[in-house]
Amino acid sequence: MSASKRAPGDTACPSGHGPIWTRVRRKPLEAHVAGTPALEVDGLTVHYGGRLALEGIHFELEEGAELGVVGPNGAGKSTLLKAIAGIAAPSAGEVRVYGHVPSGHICIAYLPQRSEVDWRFPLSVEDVVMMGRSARLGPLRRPGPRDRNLVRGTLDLVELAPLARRSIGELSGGEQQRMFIARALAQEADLVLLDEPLAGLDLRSQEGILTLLSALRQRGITLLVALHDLGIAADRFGKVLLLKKSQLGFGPPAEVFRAEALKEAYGASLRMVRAEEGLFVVSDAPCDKEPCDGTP
Amino acid sequence: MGLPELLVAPFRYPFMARGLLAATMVGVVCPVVGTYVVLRGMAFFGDALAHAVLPGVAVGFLTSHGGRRSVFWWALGTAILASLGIGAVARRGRLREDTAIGIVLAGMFALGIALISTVRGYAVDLVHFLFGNVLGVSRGDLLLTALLGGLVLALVLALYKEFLVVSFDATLAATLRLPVRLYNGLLLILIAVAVVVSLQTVGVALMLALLVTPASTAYLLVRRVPAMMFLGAGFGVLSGLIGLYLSYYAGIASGAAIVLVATGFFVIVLFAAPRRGLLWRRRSN
Repeated sequence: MSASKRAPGDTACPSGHGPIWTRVRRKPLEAHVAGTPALEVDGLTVHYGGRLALEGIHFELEEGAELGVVGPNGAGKSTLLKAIAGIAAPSAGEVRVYGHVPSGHICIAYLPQRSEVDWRFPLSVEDVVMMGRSARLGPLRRPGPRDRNLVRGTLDLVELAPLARRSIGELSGGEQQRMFIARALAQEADLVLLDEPLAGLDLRSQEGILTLLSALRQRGITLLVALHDLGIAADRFGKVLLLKKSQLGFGPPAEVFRAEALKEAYGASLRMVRAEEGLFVVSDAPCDKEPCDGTP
Repeated sequence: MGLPELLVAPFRYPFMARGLLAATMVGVVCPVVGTYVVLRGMAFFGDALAHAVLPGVAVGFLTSHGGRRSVFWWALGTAILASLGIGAVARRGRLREDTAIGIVLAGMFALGIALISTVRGYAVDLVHFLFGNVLGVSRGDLLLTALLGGLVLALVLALYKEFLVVSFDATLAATLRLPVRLYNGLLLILIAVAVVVSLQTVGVALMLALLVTPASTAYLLVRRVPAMMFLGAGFGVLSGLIGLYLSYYAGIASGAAIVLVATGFFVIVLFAAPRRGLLWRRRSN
């Protein structure tokens, strides 16, 4: 019931069940303000470890939108996602999620890069997905039948139900990513931020994740996806954000991916070929994934 | 003398029976808390904490002329202070965490030794805190161990899902708006309490083994966190029991005997664990 699509204006974010002492928190959670965009980023500037990581980012997303965030390594993609998640503090400007600062929401899910996770942790797939429930449960409470049903439902949706009891260390890359998507659903997230979800996956797994992401959108979930592959961003995303510390473009891929902007973002690592109908075939940092053989 | 007689004989002595009770309680509490020490890679922190307790022990000892209760509370206060201090140094400074831990460990340990060296007459008793003296446990000590150990277990159980989220994925915990620093601090305090409670059993120098070894042995055998805690506690209790027999019949220092048995279990499991043990892998190759 909770993972299904919600009516607009429904204040789905705060948890409202359970006795009062299970709801003790340091900060009250914000309700969604009806009629506000899912995400507003306004003049966002972030310093990370004393250095400028992002400057003057400005865009807006409607509920159910899907944004591909692209830019070279170190462009600030992860920082942007973390600032939107409310776990990196802006030094200027602001982020509003359904009308409020993000740190008051528990409906924002941040999916880490797979390399940032300790896969030796003795947890089953089910355990990890259940973690998404902890905020709604509140301290001291154990998961109930409702939570277990929800977890089972999300595992079904991402097609991991047969692997529910499997150790997380035994999953393939695609399965790991789908587990985190299930966790975001168990969290009842309305805004899901994915940091390089396709990195290191084979084409078939990539396709599986992309299909799953469009299923999330149909549930009214707003998506921000940091990507390495400009081609996938152009083909599969309605809107893209081109980043290199500052914002080099925001809008439909055809408008953003212009020679000038791409050159500014990628500099020498970008190669372009003019093709038919004014398209560019571009390739970003050819040495990034495969061993570079040195041939041009 | 038959086997049953051999097994029962040592515990006819009240001090042996008290020692067994103490070793059993510590054998449960340490691996349960130690599960987080192992999973979060905090072994060095645990060792530092155990060593950093020494000045507290010394001050408690000197101010009360050897009173146990006073030593205990001073040690507990010092451990909590040291654990929060290490956290603060690591967060504030530009140092790596292990460097911060090393500095605090060595400094506190030196302070403890300096304090001890001022009164040579007491040094013999203080040696017990370095290497443990489980056979010198009093009824009062047992009660305190039971109370504090019970409190630690109750908190680990009550906040199981919070500690798990904070340990596995701090970013998720932050987006779920859990008070991450509060839970991390609380976990450090629980480790500190476990260390102080176990001090008399194995002492400062061998403390780390009780936190890390039984939990690691369990880690090699199971795939879920609760199972790791239960099985770790099993290895902890068995190590205490067998260690005390070893101490009684072979005349080995009790703390060392307990740690050696725990290490023995680890080595056996490392080689023979089903599917993951070294022997198993060689055979399948």
